[in-house]
Amino acid sequence: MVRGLYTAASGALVAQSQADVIANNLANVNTSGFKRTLLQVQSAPEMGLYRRQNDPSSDSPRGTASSAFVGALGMGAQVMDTPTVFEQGSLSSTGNPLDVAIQGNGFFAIQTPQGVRYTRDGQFSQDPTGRLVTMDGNLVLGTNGAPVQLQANGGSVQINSSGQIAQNGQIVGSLQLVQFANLTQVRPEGDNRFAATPAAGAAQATNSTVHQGFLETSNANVVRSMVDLITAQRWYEANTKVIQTQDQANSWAISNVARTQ
Amino acid sequence: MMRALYSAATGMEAQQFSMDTISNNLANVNTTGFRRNEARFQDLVYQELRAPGTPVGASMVPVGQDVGLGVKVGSSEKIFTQGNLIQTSNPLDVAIQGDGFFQVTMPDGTTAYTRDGSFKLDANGAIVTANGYFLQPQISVPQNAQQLNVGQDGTVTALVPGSAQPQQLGQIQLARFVNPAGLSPVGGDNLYTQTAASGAPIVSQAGLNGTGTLQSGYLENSNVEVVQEIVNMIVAQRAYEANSRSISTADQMLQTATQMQQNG
Repeated sequence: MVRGLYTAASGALVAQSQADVIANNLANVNTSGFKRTLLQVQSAPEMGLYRRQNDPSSDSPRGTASSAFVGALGMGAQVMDTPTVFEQGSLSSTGNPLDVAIQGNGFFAIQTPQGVRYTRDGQFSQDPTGRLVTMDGNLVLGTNGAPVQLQANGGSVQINSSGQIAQNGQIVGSLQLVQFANLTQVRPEGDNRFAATPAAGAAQATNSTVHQGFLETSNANVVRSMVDLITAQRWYEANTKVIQTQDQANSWAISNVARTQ
Repeated sequence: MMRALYSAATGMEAQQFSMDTISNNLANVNTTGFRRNEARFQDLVYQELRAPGTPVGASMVPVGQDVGLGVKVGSSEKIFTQGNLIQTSNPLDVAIQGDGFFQVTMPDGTTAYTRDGSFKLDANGAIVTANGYFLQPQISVPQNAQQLNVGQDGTVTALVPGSAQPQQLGQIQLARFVNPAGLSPVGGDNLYTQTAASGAPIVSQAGLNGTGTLQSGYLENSNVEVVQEIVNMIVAQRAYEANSRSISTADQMLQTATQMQQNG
């Protein structure tokens, strides 16, 4: 069939992926520590167009096609990648002493059944034995790589900007804060967690600061997402219009070109 | 169908949950000892369309493609911050300033915990909650006692006829938990019960072992801040609207697709 049909379909599919990505960002507009996803689009591989020319010196009735290069013909669009945008979210005050927000590029390290994972969501609480845990019950790791253990009989908790935790005037531990050389390789896993792939590089010390009593809000922006959504919709419509037009041309050709009367 | 439809639906559900929580907080803005809830969210799993590191000739794909599938409610956490103390001048109204809960014996013999210190006397002079449950340990006030007083450490004293000095009638003890957010509020009535997540209660005299002190003649109001709840409500409503726009846009896109084919 006509190449343009497939080209336009590839554009419509990419526009649909864009709407999927925006819908997820908007669904997480109130998820603390959420980082929005960006859809990056690239052109599909191009194909060369060649002019067929009859070669007068040839005896062949059809001539031999000499391959005069005309130009490149685009084959549509495709999704290149979906990087996570680690832009800082704004901090909102909760007053809860075990809520902590990170300002900077750092992550909290947490121990999950799948291994060490990283999060920007500092909504912590204590388990019955006094260990610091995330909402899912995963242990929050300290600078020594062991879970942060608070005093079981309580007392007010102070966390300073470097993540050091004091309770009843005594230092009980320090939050492990790490950053990665290659943030594009830190991938979201759901549950406000990120996994570092080997290409992200080793977890290194960070100069990010910690704010006690605050949470980092989602960096999904409603206004921007709305604009992107409108763009995605019109992008989709434009491509379907192209499909329609090609379809009409085909339809006309089928019914009229071979008409004999 | 488009993932966007389902992702946006999870977003709307999450905001509805948030709205439910805010409404309950506002309904309890004047409930003694009430602790506000906060809905907290987590992103759902990401569907991987192409893994990073997929080989391309001699090189590899530097960044993968994955699409998130929406949001879920992570927890609805009770926030145990101090509420304001309101003076009532009734000696049996006792507020806890700091950590800890009063212990209450339920009709089935189990122990429940509360921050609501609006105590009363029953017909036999025993100190009971507004619902008639006995305070634990049980304290009885003689019929003809006067000048009832509850000290900061929980000592209940009164003047009994025939004695010049106030007599000690008992001592209110407080229980505290390592993880109070893990207590179960299931029964309502400002009462909480112990769970595996909260840990075992640490019972001690008021003012010791990290428990707060008692203030007789005061009640602790709810810790709901109206302004904060209204702000959260606005945020929830706008987020809900934004998600409904995702749905209507996805719907219109699908409509465009279905109308693409020409008849005839």
